[in-house]
Amino acid sequence: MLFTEGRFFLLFALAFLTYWALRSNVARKRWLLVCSCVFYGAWDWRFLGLIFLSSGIDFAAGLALEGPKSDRARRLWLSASIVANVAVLGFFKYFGFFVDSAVALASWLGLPAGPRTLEIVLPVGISFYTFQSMSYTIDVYRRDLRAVRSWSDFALFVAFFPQLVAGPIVRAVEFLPQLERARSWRDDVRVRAALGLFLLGFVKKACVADSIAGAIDGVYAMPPSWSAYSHWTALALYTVQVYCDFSGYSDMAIATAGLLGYRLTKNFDWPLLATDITDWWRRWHISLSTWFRDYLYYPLGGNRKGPVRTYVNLWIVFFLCGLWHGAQWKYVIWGVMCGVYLIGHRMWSRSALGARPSGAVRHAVGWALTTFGVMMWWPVFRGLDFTRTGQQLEILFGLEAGGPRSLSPWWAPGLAAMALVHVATRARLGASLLERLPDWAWTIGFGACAALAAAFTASGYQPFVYFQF
Amino acid sequence: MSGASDARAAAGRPSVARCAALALLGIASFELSAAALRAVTPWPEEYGLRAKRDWFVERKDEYDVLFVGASRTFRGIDPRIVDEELARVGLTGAHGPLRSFNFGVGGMLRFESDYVIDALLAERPRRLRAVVVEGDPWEPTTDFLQNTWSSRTIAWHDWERTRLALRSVALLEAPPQERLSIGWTHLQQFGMRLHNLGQGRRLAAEILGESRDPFQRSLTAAQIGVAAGYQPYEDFLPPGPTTWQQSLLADPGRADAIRARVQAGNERPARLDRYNLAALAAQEQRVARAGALLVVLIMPGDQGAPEERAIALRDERHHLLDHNRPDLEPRWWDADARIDDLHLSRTAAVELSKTVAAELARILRPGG
Repeated sequence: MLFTEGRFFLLFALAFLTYWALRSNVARKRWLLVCSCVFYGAWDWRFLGLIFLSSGIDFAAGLALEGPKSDRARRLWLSASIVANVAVLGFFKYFGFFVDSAVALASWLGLPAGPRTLEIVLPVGISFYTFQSMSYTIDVYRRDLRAVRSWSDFALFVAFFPQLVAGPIVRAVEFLPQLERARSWRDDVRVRAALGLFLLGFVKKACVADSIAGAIDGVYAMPPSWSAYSHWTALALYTVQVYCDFSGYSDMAIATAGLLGYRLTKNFDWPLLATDITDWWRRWHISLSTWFRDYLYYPLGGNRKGPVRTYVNLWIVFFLCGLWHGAQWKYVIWGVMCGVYLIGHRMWSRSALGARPSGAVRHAVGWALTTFGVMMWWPVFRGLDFTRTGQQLEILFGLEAGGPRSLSPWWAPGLAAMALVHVATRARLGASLLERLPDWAWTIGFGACAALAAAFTASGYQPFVYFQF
Repeated sequence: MSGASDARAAAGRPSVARCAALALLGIASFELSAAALRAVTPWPEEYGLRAKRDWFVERKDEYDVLFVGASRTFRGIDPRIVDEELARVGLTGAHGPLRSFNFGVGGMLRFESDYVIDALLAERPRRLRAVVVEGDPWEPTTDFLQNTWSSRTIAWHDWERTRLALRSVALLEAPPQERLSIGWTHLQQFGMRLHNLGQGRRLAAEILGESRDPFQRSLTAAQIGVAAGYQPYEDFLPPGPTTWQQSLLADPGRADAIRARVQAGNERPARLDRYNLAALAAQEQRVARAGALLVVLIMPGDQGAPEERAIALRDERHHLLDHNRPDLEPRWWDADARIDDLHLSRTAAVELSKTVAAELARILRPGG
C-alpha cells in the first residue's frame, strides 16, 4: 500500500476518524497497532510475524537489560539482541547476495560451485524497522532510555504505519515518550502544517519523481542509444527524482503521523542546497546518517583517535551504509565512493586552504562541486549493471559518441524551473501570506491544489524507489 | 485564574462541527476543481479516438448513420459503399442522399462504445437516423490487452458506465473473489476518472499544442476524410498474403475448423441470465431519445454469439444484423476475405458493407 494510493486514503480516513473518536490512550494505541498491521499486511501479511518476532526479541532484551545486572550480563543481552536482528536482516536481505558472490568467486577460482536454489523474498521495510528496533536496545543498554513495560507500545513503536516501510528511522527515545499520554488535537496537531506537508510530499513523489522516472528509465536501460545531452540531463533529473521520491515519502510519513498527534524526526533538510559533501550528509536521510553516527561511528571512536583512524571509521561507516541500501555490489561501491568523498573533504577542510573563512563565491563553488560529485555517484547507484554504468560514463565523458535518441529539450528549462521553485520554497516565499489566510480560504485553496496534484500524477503507479532498501 | 485560562483554551479549541464544516468545504473544493479540470481535459487520442470524435462533432449534422465499434468495424465497414448502396436502393433523407460515418476504433468494446455513443448523442446530431453498434458482449473483465489503467479505459468510467459494468460483474459466472476484484478495479477506475488521476499531462500537452499519442497508426483528419472513418488494414501491410492467410491457404481444413468453432458457439444455449440486458435497454433508450434507431451488428469473428440472436428473437424491436453465421455466409471465413482471425480484407469489407447497407435500408424504410 502506497501513500499515493486510493486505498491508503480510505484506510487513513478510517484510522484517523476512529482514532480521534476513541477516548482512552490505550484504545487509541491498540487501534493504531491494528491499522499498522493492516497497512503492512496489504503487502504480505506473513511478514507481520517477522516484525513481531523482531520486536519481541528487542522488547525482551530491553527488559532484561534493566535492573542491577552485571555489565557482562548486560553486554550478553545486548549482543544477543544485535545478533538476532542482524541475523534476521542478513538472512532475508543478504543471504542471496553473499551466496551468489561466493559462487561467483568460486567459479572465478575454478572451484566447483552450483547455482543457488533458495529464493528468499525481501520483506518490505526490513532495513528500516530492524535499525529502529536495534536502536532501542542500544539506548536501553546505554541507560539513555528506560525499558518500555508494554509490549503493545513497543510493537507500535516498531510498526507505526506512517514510518514503517521507508522511515524516517525513529528513535525510541523520541517516540516512546509520546505514547505515554493521549495525544491532544489542540496541542499536538497542526492541521494546516500537516496537510500542507502531505500535499507537498504527494506532489514530490507522485507528480515529480514518478514523471521523471518515466522519462529517464529508458536512458538507464539502454545507455548506448541515448545522446550525451540525454545522459547529463538524466543524471541531473535522477538527482531530483531520488530526492523527491524519498523526501516526498518522508514528508507524507511525517504529515500522516502529525495528523495523529505524533512527531517524527526530520529526514531531509534541503540537501540539494548543500555546499559540501559533509553538509550533504547532514541534510540527506538524516535519520539514517545520525543512526550510523550514533550507533557505529561514535562507538568506533569517531574522530577522537586521530586523522587516520577517523578516515578508517568513515570508510567503514559508509561501506556499511552502502550495503544497507541494497544487497548488490553497486551499493557497496557507491558507499565506498561516499566514504572517499567524505575523507577527501575532511582532508581538504584540515588543509590551510580549506580552513579559510567562506564567502559567497566559495559557497557557490562548493555547491557546484557538491552537486557535481553527487551526480557522479548516481551512474553507479542507479545503473542496472556495471556494463551499462560503464557505457553511461563513457558517453558522459566523451569517450563514446552516444546514440541518436534524445530526451526532450524541455527538460533543461524544466530543471531550471524546478531549481527556482526549490530555492523559492526554501526562502519561504509567500509563506506568511498563506499563514495569514483564514481557515476557510486556506481550505478551499488546499482542495483546489489537491485536485491539481491528483491530475498531474504520473500515469500508473510505481513502487517507491526506496522500498527495495 | 486557572478557570479563565481554561476558558481561553476552550475558546481556541476548534469544535467538531467547525472541523467537519471545514472538511466538507475542502472536499467540495477538491471535487469542484476536479470537475472543472475534467471538463477541459481532452479525449484520449489512442488509435484515433479523439480525431474521430473531433471530426464527427465538427460535422455532426452531416451524417445519418453512425457505425460504432472496435477494429472489426473500423476495418470492415466502408461508409462510402454503404452510402452508395443506400442511394442505389432509393433510400434518401429530406436533405438528399444518406451519409454514414465509421466510428470504429481499435479495441473499443461495448462499454467504451456506449460511452462514445452517449457523448456523440450529447452533441445533438440532427440528421442521425441509426446508430449501428458492434455487438460485443457487455464484457466487464478489466485486463483487456492489459489496458486496465490506460487513459482510454479510465475515460469511459463515468457513473453510468461504471454502474452498468458493475452490473455485468454481478452477472459474471466467476468465483465471488474474482468478481469482487473486478468490481473493485472498476470502482478504482471510476475514482481515477472522477479525480482526473494522471490526466494532467494530456491537459498540459493540449495547452502546449503537442500530441501525446504514442501510436503510429492514429488517424489524422485527412485520413478520416478519405473514407468517412474507414481504413482498410491492407494500408499498413506489405503486399501479398498475410501470415494468417498463408496458414489458411496451406491448410484448407483450417478455415472449416474455424467455421465449425464459430457455428458451435452460435448453437450453444444463449445465457440471457448472464447477459447485461439492463445495459442494452439503457443504450436503446438513449439512442431512441436522440430520435435514432439502435442496430446491433455482429461482425464475422472467431467466436459464436447466440445471446444477441436470442434477444432479437424475443424482442422484435431489437434490430440485429448478424454476420457471424458460417452456416449462412461461409464466405467471410475464406482466406481472401480476412487479414487475420478478426479483421476483414478490403474486398470483403466492400462486400459486407453492401450487405449491411441493404439490411439497413430495410430497417430504415418507413414501416421497416
